[in-house]
Amino acid sequence: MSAVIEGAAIKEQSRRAAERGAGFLPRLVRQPIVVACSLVLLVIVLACVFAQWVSPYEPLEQDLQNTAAGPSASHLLGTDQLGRDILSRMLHGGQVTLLGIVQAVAVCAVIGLFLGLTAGTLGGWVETVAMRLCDLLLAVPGLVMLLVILGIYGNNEAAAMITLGVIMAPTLARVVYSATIAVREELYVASARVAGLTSFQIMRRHILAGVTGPALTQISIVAAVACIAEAGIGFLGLGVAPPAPSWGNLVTDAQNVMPISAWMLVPTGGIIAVVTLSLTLLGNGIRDAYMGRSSGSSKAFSWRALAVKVSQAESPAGGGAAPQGQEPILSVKGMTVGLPRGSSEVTIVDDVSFHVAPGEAVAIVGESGCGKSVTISGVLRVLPMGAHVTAASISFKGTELTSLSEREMNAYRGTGIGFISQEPISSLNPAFTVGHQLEEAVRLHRGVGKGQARQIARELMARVRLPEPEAVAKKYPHELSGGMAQRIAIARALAGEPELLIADEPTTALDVSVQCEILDLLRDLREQTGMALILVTHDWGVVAEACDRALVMYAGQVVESADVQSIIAHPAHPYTRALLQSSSVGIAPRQLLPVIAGTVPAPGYWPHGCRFASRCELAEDACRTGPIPMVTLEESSAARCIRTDVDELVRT
Amino acid sequence: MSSLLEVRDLTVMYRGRGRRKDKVALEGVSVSLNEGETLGLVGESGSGKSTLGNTVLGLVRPERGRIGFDGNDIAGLTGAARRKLSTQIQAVFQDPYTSFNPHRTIEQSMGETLANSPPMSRRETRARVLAMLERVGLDSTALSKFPAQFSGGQRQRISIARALLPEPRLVVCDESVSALDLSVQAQILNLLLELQRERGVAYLFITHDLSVVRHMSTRIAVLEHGKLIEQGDAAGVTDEPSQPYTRRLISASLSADAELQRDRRSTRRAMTLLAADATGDRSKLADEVLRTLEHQAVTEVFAQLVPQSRALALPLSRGLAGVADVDGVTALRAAVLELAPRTAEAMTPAAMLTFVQEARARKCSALFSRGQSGMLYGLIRDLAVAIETGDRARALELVGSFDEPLEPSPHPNGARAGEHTIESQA
Repeated sequence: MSAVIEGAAIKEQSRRAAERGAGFLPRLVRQPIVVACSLVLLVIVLACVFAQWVSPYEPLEQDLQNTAAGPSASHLLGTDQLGRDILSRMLHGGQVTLLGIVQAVAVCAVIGLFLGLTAGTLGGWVETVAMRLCDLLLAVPGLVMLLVILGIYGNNEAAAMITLGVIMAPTLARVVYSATIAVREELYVASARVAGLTSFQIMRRHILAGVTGPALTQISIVAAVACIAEAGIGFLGLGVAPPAPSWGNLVTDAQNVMPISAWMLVPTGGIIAVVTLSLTLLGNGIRDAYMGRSSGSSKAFSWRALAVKVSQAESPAGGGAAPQGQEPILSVKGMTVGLPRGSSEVTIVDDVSFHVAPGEAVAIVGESGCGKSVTISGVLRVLPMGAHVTAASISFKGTELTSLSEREMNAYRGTGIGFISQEPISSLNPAFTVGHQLEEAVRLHRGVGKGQARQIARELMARVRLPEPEAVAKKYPHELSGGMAQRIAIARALAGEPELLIADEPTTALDVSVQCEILDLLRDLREQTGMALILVTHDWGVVAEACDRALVMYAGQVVESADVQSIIAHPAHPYTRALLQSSSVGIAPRQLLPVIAGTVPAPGYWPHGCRFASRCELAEDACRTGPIPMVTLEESSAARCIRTDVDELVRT
Repeated sequence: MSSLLEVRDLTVMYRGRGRRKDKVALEGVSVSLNEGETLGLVGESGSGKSTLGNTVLGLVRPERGRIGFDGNDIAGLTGAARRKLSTQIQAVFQDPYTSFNPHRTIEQSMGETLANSPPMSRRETRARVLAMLERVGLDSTALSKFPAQFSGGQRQRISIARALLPEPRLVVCDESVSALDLSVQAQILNLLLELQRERGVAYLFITHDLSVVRHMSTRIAVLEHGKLIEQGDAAGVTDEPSQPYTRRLISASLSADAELQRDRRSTRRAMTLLAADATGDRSKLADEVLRTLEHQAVTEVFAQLVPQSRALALPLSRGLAGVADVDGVTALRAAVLELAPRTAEAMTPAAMLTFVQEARARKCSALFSRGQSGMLYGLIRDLAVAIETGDRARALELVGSFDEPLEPSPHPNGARAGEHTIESQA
C-alpha cells in the first residue's frame, strides 16, 4: 500500500527532476565520476597511441644495471627481470591491448546494433531469424571457441579479438532489440509516422536516440570484458609473441619475477584494473544519464534522511471549520508537508486543517499539483524519503498520530485506516493470485489462521459483489479487468475493518459504467459499516455522486470547505467557481468555455498573498499583501477569500 | 457537401501470436465526416474507437473496407503514397508526456510534420514553426527547449501546433484532453474550437468523456465492442439516444448536479431492490421504481441545456381532444418517462420493464376508475408549463404528487419518495 502512495509522489518528483535538466549530454557531463573516468581513459589512450614519442625508452631496450628494480627517477615504474622499462613496455603494450579492445568492440557493435535494430524495427520473419541467430550464438561456449580460433590461427591477436566481438554480439543485440521494441511502442514514433517520416528517418531520429543509452552502457561493458580477455590471452601466452609487449604479457613477466620483486605486479595489474573500472563506471554514468537520474546529492541517500520526519507544531494554527456535534474520527490541524528538493526543502502542503466525522464522506478536490495526494500521504505518513510532516495535531479516534513512532503508526495503516489507489492493477502484486493477497491481508490485520482467513476473504469478495469469488480468487491481477481489480483492492482495504477509508482517485482509470458501480459499492459499504470516507478526486461528478462534504485545494492550501450541495450550487471561492465552470456542462455546445487563465503555481513559487490572485478576476491590492485566512461563511462552510461579499453579487 | 472522410464497412483484426487468438477490433463500421466539422467517437475501453482513429492515420492496416478521404480510397495505402497524406491528415494523441521524443527539441519535433510539405529553407521552416507556436500561446523560447521542460497542458498545445503545422484538413484527436486537468482541458478545447473556426479543419474526436464529446462534436458515433451502435448529429445522439447502450453510457456518466445524481442513485437502488427481491411485495417495489424513474426523468430534463416538454405535448393534446380513456392516461404517464430519453426505460432490464409497465397500468386504471384522470391531465399540463418556464422546484413537486390521491400515506419504502409526498402536501 505504502509503495503506491509513495510511487505517486516520487513520479511527480522525478518529473520535476527531469524538468530541471533535459538533454542526455548535459546530464552525462554533470556527473563528476563520468568526467574523471573519461579523463583517465583519454590520458591512457593518448599515451599509448603516442607511445613512440612519449615513452622514455624503447620497449626492448635493456638496462642490465637495473633488473627487476622498483620505481626510481630513471625508471618511473621500475624495470623487469631483463632490465626493460615497465612504463615504456606498458605504453607500447597498450597499443596492442587497446587495438584488441577496439577490434572486439567494433565487431560486437556492428553485429549487435545491426541485428538488434533490424529485428526491432522490421519485425516479422526478420525478427524471428535475427533473434534465433542470437540464441544460437549464445549457445556456443565462448571460451572454447576462442581457444579453437587461437589454435587455428596461432598467436593471432586480431583473430582472437574479432571472435570475442562476435561472441559478445548477441548480448548487445538483445539489449538493442529490447530497447528498440520499447521505443517502437512509444507514442512519439506513432506521431513521427503520422508526420510522414520514412522508416529510415524514424530509425535515425527516434529509435537510435532511444537505443543509444542502453547500447552505450552495454558497449562499455563489452570493452571492459575485452580488456580483461585480451590480458588473459596474453597471460596465457596465446596473444602477441614475446618479447613484444602487451598488458597480458607484462602480467606474465610480473608473475615470473614475483619471487625477486613483487612490485611489478602493481603497475601491470593496476593498468588493467584502472581501464576496466573506468569503462564500467563510465557505463554506469551513461545509464544514469539516460534514465534521467540526478547523480546524486548524497544527502538524499544518507540513512538519516530516509525516515519521514514528523514533528508537532506548538499552537494549533487556525483555519478549518471546527467540528461540531459528534467527535470527528479524523481531525487534522495545521498540517504542513515538505519534501526535499536538492539541498533544501519545499513545502507541498501548507497548513491544512480538516476533520472527518464518523460515517461521513469527504471529498478533496483540486487539480494536479495542488497537494491532494500528499495531504493524505501526510496523514498516513507514507511519504518519499526525507519528507517532513509538521502538524499541530493529527488525531485519529482520539489518538495523536504525530506522537506515534513508525512502528506504532503501522498498526493504524490498513487496520484503522484503509487505502485504495487509482491504479488497482498495479497496486496488486503480479506474482501472487488475488485470493492469496486478500488472505494475506486478512491474516495480517485480523491475526487469524489460514482456514479462517480464507473464509473471511471469500466473505469480503462477496461483499464487494465480485461474481464467482472462487474463480476470481485463483486469478492473477493482470487477468482481471480494471473494475474487478478495484473491487479486490477495496476488499483488501476492508480486511482490516477500517473505520476510515481513504480512496485516491479510485475511479479515474475506469470506464464510466464501472465507475458508477464502484461508487455505488463504496456508498453501500459505508451505509453497512458506518465507515467514513476520504475521496481524492478532480471530478466534480464523482464529488456530487459520492460525497457529503468537499474540501477544495489550491496550491497546497484548502481554499474552500462546504457541503457538496452548496459548494456546487453556490461556490464561494473564485477558484471553485472557475473550476466548476470549466466543465462543459451548461455551456452551449461548440461555444468557448470560460477558462481560468494561467496555471497553478508550482510548490516553492507560491506568492505571499492569495495564491489564486494572479488568475482571479476579483483580485485587488489587499489580496496580494498577505496570507489570506479562511473566512467562515456559514456554520459549516468556509472559504479562503476576502472578497466573498463580491462573490455574492457575481453569483446573483 | 460531400464528405471529407467516408469510412465504409471497415473491419480490423488484430492477429494473435502464438496461443493468443485473433481479435476483431472493428467490424463493418461506417462513419462519415464533412469538411470543417467534428465527428465524436465514443465508447468504453475496448470498443475500438482508437483503432478506428489509428486506421484512418494508417498506423493499423484494415482487413476489409474502404476509407474514402476526399474521394480517394486510402485504406491500406503504404510507402510514399501514404506519407504524402501526412500533410492532409494529422493527429493529436492522448499522452502529452510520451508523444514527444524526450531527446529532441521542440523545434526538431515540430519540424517533422513538414517533412512532406514542399521543401523550404531552414529559416522559412523556423518561421512557420514559430508562428504556429505563437498561435497556441507559446513563444520563441520554446523552440530550443526539450519536452520535459513543459507542463502537460503546454505540451498538448505544442502537440496541436505540430499537428496543424502542415495545414491538414483532418486531425485525429485521440483522447487529446483526457489526461489533462479540468481547467487546462477547457483551455485546450477552446483552442481546438478556435483553430477549427479559423482554418476549417475537420476533427475526428475520440474520447470516452460524453460531456466533452457533446461539447465538441457536430456528429457523434457510438461504438461498442468494435461495432457501430449509433450515429447521428450530436444533439440527437446525446439528448435522444435511440440505442440502449448509448442510454446506458449517458446515464452512467456523472454530472456535477448533486440532485440529479441523487435521483439517479435512488432509481438504481430501487431497481436493484426489485431485481433482488424474489419473494417480497413486488407490486409495491415496482411502484417505487416507477416513482423514482418519473422523478429522475424530470430532474434529467432540467439537467439538459434546453429543457423540452415536447414529449408531453403530443399525448396531452391527443388525450384532451379525444375521450379520456385508460389508455390515454397510461400514455400520458409513459410520456413523463419519455422526457428523459437519456435514461428512461432503457435503463431497466426487460423483466423490470414489465413490472414498471404493470405498475403504471395499475395506477392509471385506479385513477380512471375513481374518475381522477382529469386531475392527472391537469397535473401533466402544469408540469409541461413548469418545464417550459424552467421552474424546477414546481416540476418536481408536481411529479411527486402524481399518486397522492391514490396513496395519501407516505410510501413505506424509501424515505426520499416519502419526503416528496410530505413536501407536496405541505
